[in-house]
Amino acid sequence: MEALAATVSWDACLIVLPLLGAIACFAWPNAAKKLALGTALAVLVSIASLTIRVTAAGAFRHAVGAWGAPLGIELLVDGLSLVMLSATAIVGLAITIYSAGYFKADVSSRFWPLWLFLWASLNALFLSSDIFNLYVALELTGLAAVTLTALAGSADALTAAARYLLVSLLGSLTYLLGVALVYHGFGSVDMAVLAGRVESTPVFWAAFSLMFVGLALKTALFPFHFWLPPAHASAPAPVSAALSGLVIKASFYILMRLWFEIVPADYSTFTNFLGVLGAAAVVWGGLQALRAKRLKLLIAYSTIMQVGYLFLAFPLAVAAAWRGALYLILSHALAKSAMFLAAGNILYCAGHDRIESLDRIAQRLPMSLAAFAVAGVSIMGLPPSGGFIAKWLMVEAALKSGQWWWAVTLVLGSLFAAAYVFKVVGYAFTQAEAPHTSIDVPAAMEWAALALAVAAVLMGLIAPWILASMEIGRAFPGAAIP
Amino acid sequence: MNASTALPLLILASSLLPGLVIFFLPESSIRIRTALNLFGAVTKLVLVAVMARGVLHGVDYEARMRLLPDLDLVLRADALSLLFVSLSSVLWLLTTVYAIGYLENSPHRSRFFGFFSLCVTATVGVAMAGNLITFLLFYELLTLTTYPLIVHRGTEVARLAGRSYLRYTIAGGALLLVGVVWLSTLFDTLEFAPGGFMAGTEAASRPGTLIVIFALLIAGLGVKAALVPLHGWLPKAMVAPAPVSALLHAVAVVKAGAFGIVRVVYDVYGIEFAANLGVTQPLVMVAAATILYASVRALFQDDLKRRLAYSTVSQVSYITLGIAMVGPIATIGGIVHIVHQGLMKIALFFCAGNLAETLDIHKVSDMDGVAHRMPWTMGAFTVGAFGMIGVPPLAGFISKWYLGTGALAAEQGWIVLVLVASSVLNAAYFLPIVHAAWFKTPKGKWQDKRDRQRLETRWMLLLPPMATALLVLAVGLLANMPLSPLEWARLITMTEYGP
Amino acid sequence: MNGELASTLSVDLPWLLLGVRLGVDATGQVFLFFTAVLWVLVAVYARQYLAKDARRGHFFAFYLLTMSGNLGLILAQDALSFYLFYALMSFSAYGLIVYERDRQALRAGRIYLYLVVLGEALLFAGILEGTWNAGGLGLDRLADTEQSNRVIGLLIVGFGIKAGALPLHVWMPLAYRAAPAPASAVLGGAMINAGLLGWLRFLPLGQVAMPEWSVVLIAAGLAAAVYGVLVGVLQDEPRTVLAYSSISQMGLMTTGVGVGMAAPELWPLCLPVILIFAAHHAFAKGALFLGVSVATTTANRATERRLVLTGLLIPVLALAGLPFGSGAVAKAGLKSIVAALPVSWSDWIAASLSLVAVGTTVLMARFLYLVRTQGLRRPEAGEGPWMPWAILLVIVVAGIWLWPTGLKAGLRTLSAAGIWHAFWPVSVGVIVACVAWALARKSKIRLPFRIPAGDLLCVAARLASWIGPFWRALGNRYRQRAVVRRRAWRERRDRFIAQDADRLLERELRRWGMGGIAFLTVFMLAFLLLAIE
Repeated sequence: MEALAATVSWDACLIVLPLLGAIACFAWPNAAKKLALGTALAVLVSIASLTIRVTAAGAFRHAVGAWGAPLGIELLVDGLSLVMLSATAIVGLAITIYSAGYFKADVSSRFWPLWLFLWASLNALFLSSDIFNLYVALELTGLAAVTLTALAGSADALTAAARYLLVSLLGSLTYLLGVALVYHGFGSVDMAVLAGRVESTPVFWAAFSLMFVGLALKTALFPFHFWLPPAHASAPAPVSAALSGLVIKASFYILMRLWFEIVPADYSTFTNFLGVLGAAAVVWGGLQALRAKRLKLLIAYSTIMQVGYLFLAFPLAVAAAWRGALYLILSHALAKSAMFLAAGNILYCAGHDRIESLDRIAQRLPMSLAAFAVAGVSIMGLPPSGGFIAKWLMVEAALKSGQWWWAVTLVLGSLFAAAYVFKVVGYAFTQAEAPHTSIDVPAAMEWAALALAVAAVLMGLIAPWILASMEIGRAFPGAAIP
Repeated sequence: MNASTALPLLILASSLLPGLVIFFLPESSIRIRTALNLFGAVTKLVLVAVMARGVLHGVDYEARMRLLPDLDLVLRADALSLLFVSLSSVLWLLTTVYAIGYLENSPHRSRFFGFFSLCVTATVGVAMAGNLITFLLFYELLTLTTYPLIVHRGTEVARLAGRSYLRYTIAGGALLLVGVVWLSTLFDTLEFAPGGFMAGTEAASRPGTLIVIFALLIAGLGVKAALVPLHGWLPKAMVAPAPVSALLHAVAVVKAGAFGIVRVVYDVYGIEFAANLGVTQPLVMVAAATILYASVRALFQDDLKRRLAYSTVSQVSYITLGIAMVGPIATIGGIVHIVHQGLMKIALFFCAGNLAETLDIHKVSDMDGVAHRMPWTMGAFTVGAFGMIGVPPLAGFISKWYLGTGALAAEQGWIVLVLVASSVLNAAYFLPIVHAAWFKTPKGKWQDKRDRQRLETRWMLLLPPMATALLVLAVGLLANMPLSPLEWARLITMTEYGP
Repeated sequence: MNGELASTLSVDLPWLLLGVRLGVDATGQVFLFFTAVLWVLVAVYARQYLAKDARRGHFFAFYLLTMSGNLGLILAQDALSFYLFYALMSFSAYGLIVYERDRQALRAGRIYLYLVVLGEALLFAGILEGTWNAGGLGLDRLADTEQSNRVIGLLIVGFGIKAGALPLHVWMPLAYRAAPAPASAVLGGAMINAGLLGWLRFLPLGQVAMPEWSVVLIAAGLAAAVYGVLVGVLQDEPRTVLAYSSISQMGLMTTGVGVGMAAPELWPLCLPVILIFAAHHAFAKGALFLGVSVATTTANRATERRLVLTGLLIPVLALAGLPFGSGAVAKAGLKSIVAALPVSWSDWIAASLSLVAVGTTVLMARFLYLVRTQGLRRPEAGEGPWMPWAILLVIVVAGIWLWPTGLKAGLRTLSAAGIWHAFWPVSVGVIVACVAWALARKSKIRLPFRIPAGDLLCVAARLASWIGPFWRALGNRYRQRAVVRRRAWRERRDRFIAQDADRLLERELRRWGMGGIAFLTVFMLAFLLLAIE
């Protein structure tokens, strides 16, 4: 098994297979569902093999076509990218299964190619080893995401998608400007090379500021979050799941990579600034989520809040905080997708997702509400779930380094989360007043949502293994914990 | 995996697995559901008995799992956990029987019993937790699994009660989390050890930090343990069906909080270390204030279950009071009251449920003369009420005696005054009920309900209150016998205070 | 009940409660005898008395429970079982008091219950601290331990409630009148002595000198004795009069206990006197109560009525203290121990005792008058057998002489001086009573005021009726204000959530301008902050 894992270049497969699948789905729209499912399974197999290889042999760089850097493209496979890829694969599989039942024929023919294309670009992003490649993958991801958002076709969706497009382009262009400055200043785009060359000069400051702003825009950090709720709320459910679960994380991943590999020193004022923005995101997202009248809007604001959590890892500046952030990315991907899929079920069944009318629908969809509730457990950070582990790690980091105020922010955020999750879950237990005309939801859709939610909870029980594999090849930076 | 690792897990599984299965049963499969419920309850009881025997013979039961690289989830059975687990198992069996009878023909029974079983799983997990992180895990799980039970009826009142419950418990859980995380940054291990794991370590030289952590922990636990002013959720949660109120207020939620306080004071801080730190005396004050305040509030409630709720708030603080007084006798009093209060309160709630279910009586003012219609129920209620007042030879008297003696031993004589005042207040709000039921002429609307049966109500509703009332009498009368709760409490105290 | 005061015989039950010891000692023997006899005789009477009553099962259930409690507390040799049986007896007696279920009975029961609860609470505290100081639960230990003033105070008041000590005696007149006739007999004859026994068991009498408490008890006892007589004379129901008489007599016994507290060496003298007094009072009072019941059921038959009244004379005179009666022996004994008191004012006490004797006689005369003039109280009452009452009468007359201790004490009083000391108060009392009766009949003078049964209670009730509405109004106003405040807060919060946050959101929506500005601002800030490091 190890031999097989070693010979085939699974990392390249991860990019090529979805691309091929996308083309195939475009060419043969009637067989698209089966093709997509097959691709998803193949990707899963690739990931598994890649994991076996990395855990056995350690991180590695793979020069595609044997053209090494700086001319060719090199793919970097280490613990961090492995984790992101696995998350993408699991969520992707669930979304694929879900979408098989969700979309009607005409939309479906446009959905599958775009979805697989998005998947391919995400995988490419997570495997890139130089900052220009990251730009390419980022741009592709953004375009795919925008198009998927517009898929619903309604006026809201189109407006939201248009806004998303503008934002996405602005963000990636700014990032590109930063890349250009870096190349001009230090002569390379490869991250391994830059790690040695970058110094704290005005060029670097300008470049990094540009990159940061661009990425922050794409990650919907406060105050750049305004595009996210309309976009995620009006997109079809599986698309929202992908957007909130995966696409948002992509730009944050880039930021993490830059921070780990390239950034030379500890910029404590800057990181505190990031922390402040993150805290603002937590509070603002929480408040807005509480006020939301539509379910998907609520979930979208919840994403904004969780993104704020992620940025708190910057000021904490210890390895444990980064582990917590990465764990949060993982479990949030699973949990948020589950929530969106569950919301999709409700929308499918009732035709709307107004929270106040949930009580009439909830009785018919116990499994979807259970999925929402279980996913909510992870979002709230209650044990036993992945979200709890993440919260634990970050709070521990905060208290150990003496920055208790970030711990307070984290706790406050989870209180908000509890408030809005239970606002929805509470409706599951109310008496249904009047029977409501509804459509039956296919079992696969409900099970997909529930499976993701359970996975998010199970993440809480397998932490040691995942934490060990996160830092293969690259230990997280940070001060030694006193 | 050998027997000593498997047994704690099996005990958890005996309610977890039936619970998960019950969720998927359709509403109409009554027989299977009842069978599963009872099977789970009886199995758990048998397993607990086996474990008790093992512990008495010195067997070490422990199950471990890695949660984080430097933290384990530990389930362990020591004397204190055995006390709580046995109480939970016995009372779960009785409450299951009661709930089956109570919810006959109610909607959503599968959902109810599913969460019911999960709730007991969480309680048993709290009992067997071997370190603070495991305790925290099951404690939060308890919050999550009891919420659906509170809002089960689905009315607006129930929803608001559930919201209030969540506000308190989630906030408490957050405080508890911060406290536990903070502790984990200061100490290598969070495992419970008799006498605490703090004394003698280098972190012990930072008393300010430890005091703040103690306050956080007690605040987090005090929400469930209904210490004033964190008790607000309890009276509102009375909107839940009677089996839920019975279980929550006698066994699961409230006792979990009190149990947590016992663990924190004895197995985390250590009673002597805590006393030196100066945190025990404020805790005593808070407990005493709760006892009196809640008793006074109970006087003014006309709704029967709300009156019992405030009585619970008051009585559970006896446990905290006994724990926080430094001295073995007081500790015995506090720990034995865990069992005694559980038995008495559950008997009272069973009776209240009987009245509500059979005769639709919810208020004390409607209870005139009801004892003629339901003598056995009111008999059990009378036993429970007198137990609460502290009349010998019932269970409540034994606890009060030890608490009072402990207070004298700890040179805090004013606590005797608190106990006496509380007894008088208890009499003031229980005796009128008993008196009205037995000695007044009936005048409520319930007289129109014709009793068609031989027994005053379904046997499933009658058996649990009688059984628990009998137990209340037995544990008091036979308190000095080898296997009584009092003996267990003495054993636990001896372990805590060391040779 | 033969022979000397025997040594203790006891049985240990360590597995029961917290370790129970039951047994009989010298004091216990005496108490056990008169208690048991009284309960049995009254039970026989009650069986036929309530034969036509549909709810007699309830009566007998409570009867048996109270009896168990009463007998149990006599047999108790450790503090907790005493407390247990005391509680059992007190709470079960409630059922006896409210048996008739009319308004009067329920009120009497309620007052009784309040005082019982208060007593239990005080006793709990007292026994708790007492056993703590003694280092164990055994009553023999307690008897040897010196206790703090607080403990002694708690015990005295706690047991005093049952014994009718002022001012917590108010339940007695109400209860004795409201309970069914047989119940009053046992309540007034047997149960009342439980309080006395409590004092004897728990106070360190004979071991420790408590001169201050001695003064308190003697004063309280005399006050009760006088008060009982004065208020009792003004009552117009025979059983109420008997209640006040009990208060008065128990006051005398209290004085006896008080004397014994003054100095340990006095105690061996005091104990027999107290025991004799208790036994005498139990039988006499029991006979009186039972006699009232017998009298009311024979209202229609003149000859029988006259017989009953004559029979009633026996306990009346015994209680009054006629020479050769048990009362005389008891009172003489009391006088003798008072004389032995090493205080200067013991003569005043002796004088008061004589005064009380006069008063008792007047009281008894009033009692007889009321019995003679009162009609039937319960027309449908059954007719109890005569036998129990007759046996009681016999015991009242002869019992003291057949009991060795009593015989010894009695013989001592058979001197000429003794007989005179006993005789003159009775005769003075009779004269006063006759004069009063004659005056009342001739001039039809009516007293300008009446004291209802439960004297001080009316004062308390009046106070409560003033405070009650005021308190309730306060509570209502507070509650209303709280409700209003909470509603205002909730409205403000909802308004914020609905509207104010909306304004903030609106600002968000006009984002392109804002967004651009934010974008540039953040970029510049990032640059600057990076530059700072």
